[in-house]
Formats: sequence, C-alpha cells, structure tokens
Amino acid sequence: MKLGPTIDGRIKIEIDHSGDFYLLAEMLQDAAGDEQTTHLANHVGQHLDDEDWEEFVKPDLVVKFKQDILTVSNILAAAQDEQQKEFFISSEDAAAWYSTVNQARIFLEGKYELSELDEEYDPISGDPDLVEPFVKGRFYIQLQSLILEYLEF
Amino acid sequence: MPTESPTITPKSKQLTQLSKPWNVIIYDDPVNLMEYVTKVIMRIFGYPKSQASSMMLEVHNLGRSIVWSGEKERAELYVQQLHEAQLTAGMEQSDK
Repeated sequence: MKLGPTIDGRIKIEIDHSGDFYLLAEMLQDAAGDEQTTHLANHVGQHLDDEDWEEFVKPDLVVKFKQDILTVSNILAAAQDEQQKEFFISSEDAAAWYSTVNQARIFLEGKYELSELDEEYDPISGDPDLVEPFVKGRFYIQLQSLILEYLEF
Repeated sequence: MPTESPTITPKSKQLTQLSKPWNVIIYDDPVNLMEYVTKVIMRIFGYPKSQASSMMLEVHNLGRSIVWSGEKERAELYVQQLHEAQLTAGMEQSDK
C-alpha cells in the first residue's frame, strides 16, 4: 500500500495487494473494538463529575464516534467491492478518517501501551505479541499525520 | 435593623461564588498528536497558532492547560467540542 498527497488536495491510497484491505479492515476493527466508542467517551470525559454530561453529552459522543467509523467503513467497503486499485481521502471525509484512526490508536494504546516503548524499540527482537500492534500503530500514525498535514478539516 | 446583618454575609459569599469564572482544561494523553491538539485549540477558540502551540506544550509538559475561562454555559459548550475532537478535557470553577 502506498499513501500520499495529491495536487488537488486529497490523500491517495494505492492498493498493491489484497492484504492491504486486511490492514485497513484491522483499523476499523481496532477502532470499534471492545466497546471502544463507549470507552473513548468515558476517556475524554474522565475529569468531569457531572450527571448531566453522562446523561446528555456522552450518548451523543458515542453516536458520533460510531458514525465516523461507519463513514470510513462504507468508503472502504465500496473500494473493496469495486476492486479499486486506488481511492482517495478528501477533506470532506477527513474528520471521519482522522477520528477513526485515532480511535484505533486509542484502542491499541489501552491494550498494549505502545507509547511506553522506547523510541529505539525494535519489534523484531522484542516481544512477539507486540509485533502486530506495533506495526499497525506505526501505520496508523503515518496515515493520521498525512491527513493532518494535507487535508483541511 | 442590626439583627439582619448576619444574613448579608452568606448572600455576598454566594454572589462571589457565582461570579467566579469557569476554567476549561485540556489534559495530556498519550495518543493525540501535538499538531492536532494545536489545530483543535485554534479551531475551537480562534487563538493564533503561537498561543495555541504554547497551550499545547503546556498540556504536553505539565499534564494540563487552562485554555479558556468564562461563564459556565460557554465552558460546557467548549468542553463538549473538545470531547467531540477526542481530546480529554474538563472544567472547574476558578478559585480566583
């Protein structure tokens, strides 16, 4: 898979082989995993002790976070169904993409604490159970950084 | 009417309490990218990049930063917008 900005202000995702869709599907799964959206809503509001927030704001946040994942899921499903070799992230969908990738990263962080690893951490010689989340985490950061740098949202 | 004077003190205390501003606070977390936090602060509060970057660095280095102070209803709205952007945020009444 190759990722990069285009001259018309989008991010192009080039699919090299079918495994690329697996990685993108993993991102959706990480983003949605283990009641992640509810966890995320709790996480962002952890410093509030407010019944109104629990009753009125948190449910809306959960819906919004899920909707972001659904938006990206629909884009990926269409690309996969049509066997597209390349597709694009536009500014219109950038917020949903960024949110989804962020949710995936928050899930990985909660489960594996990847931020605790040294900057020099070598996944090859490290814990075998961390290889996959480490690689996925790096990919998510790259994708997120591209969205942040090149798209308006 | 000297006997009424004791009731004045709690009322004035209450007024002082009500007039204290509410602080909107962003807390550090291990996931959100620094540039993103700056961008969100600029978008929500309309601050210039230099001010937003300074607040972001305070969050990163000190664990939290007060990014806005004012009336409660507006603080609640800002906190909600920060939560929608997936930043960990809260509010507390200023002690000043």
